Amino acid sequence: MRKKSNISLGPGASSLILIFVVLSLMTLGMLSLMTGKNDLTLSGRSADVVEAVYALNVQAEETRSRIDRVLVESAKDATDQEAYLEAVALGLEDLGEEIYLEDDLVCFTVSDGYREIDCALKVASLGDSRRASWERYNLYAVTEDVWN
Amino acid sequence: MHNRSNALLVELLIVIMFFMLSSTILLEVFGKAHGMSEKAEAMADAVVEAQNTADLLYLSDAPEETLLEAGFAKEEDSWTRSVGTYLLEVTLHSEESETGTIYYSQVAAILGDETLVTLPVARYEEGMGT
Repeated sequence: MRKKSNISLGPGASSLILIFVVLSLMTLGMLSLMTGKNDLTLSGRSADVVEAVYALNVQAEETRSRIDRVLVESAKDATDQEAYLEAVALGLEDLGEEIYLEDDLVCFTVSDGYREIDCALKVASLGDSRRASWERYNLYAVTEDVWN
Repeated sequence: MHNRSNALLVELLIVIMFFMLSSTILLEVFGKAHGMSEKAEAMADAVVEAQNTADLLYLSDAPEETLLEAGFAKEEDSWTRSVGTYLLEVTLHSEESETGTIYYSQVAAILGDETLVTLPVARYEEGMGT
């Protein structure tokens, strides 16, 4: 004959189990919440950085359009390449920004304070169908706090 | 013996009630964490998709055709494409000058009423310069 085993639950045992279960679940819940919050913050910061970089790209293209206007104006009266580049250098000074000519490269920087794009446009020969093309387009972090 | 059983019963009842109360709060916490994780995942995915679309538009000579090929549908002033839980919306416009044209686009990822990311794109195209 098999012996019946009596498992008796003493007073307080269920409370102890409850405390253990609730504490465990609470810890897991807090960890999940913290992970979710951190993931969201990271995704948000990443999105902000990407937005800022694309905004800088827009600035660079707009600057390029202003430079192109100078190139068109300079080409009108220029007789040779040298005169053309001289006129371009003068025209760039009139733009009133930090845009300068270095040999046949028009160099400029667009920045938002936290990162900058160092750009250089190669000026084509006088009479070419295409007036300029990107030669350099480098993105740098200006501050250590690149997450801003 | 009878008193001990009653005490155990009362204790069990209290334990069950407390557990139910805790479960309600914990379920809310887990639900919130799940919501946050889902939003974070959608945002990370949306950034990549928006970047892909923005880069396609930057390189494209015919943005509208590119958008059609990428699965976007035209809606009044914008182009939209549903991706998972969020919506990609693209608006196009251009500014013409004497020397060339700047083609502007804006790629936005929208989740419900919230905009997850907005990427501006510009591409300058030289004109004849006359």
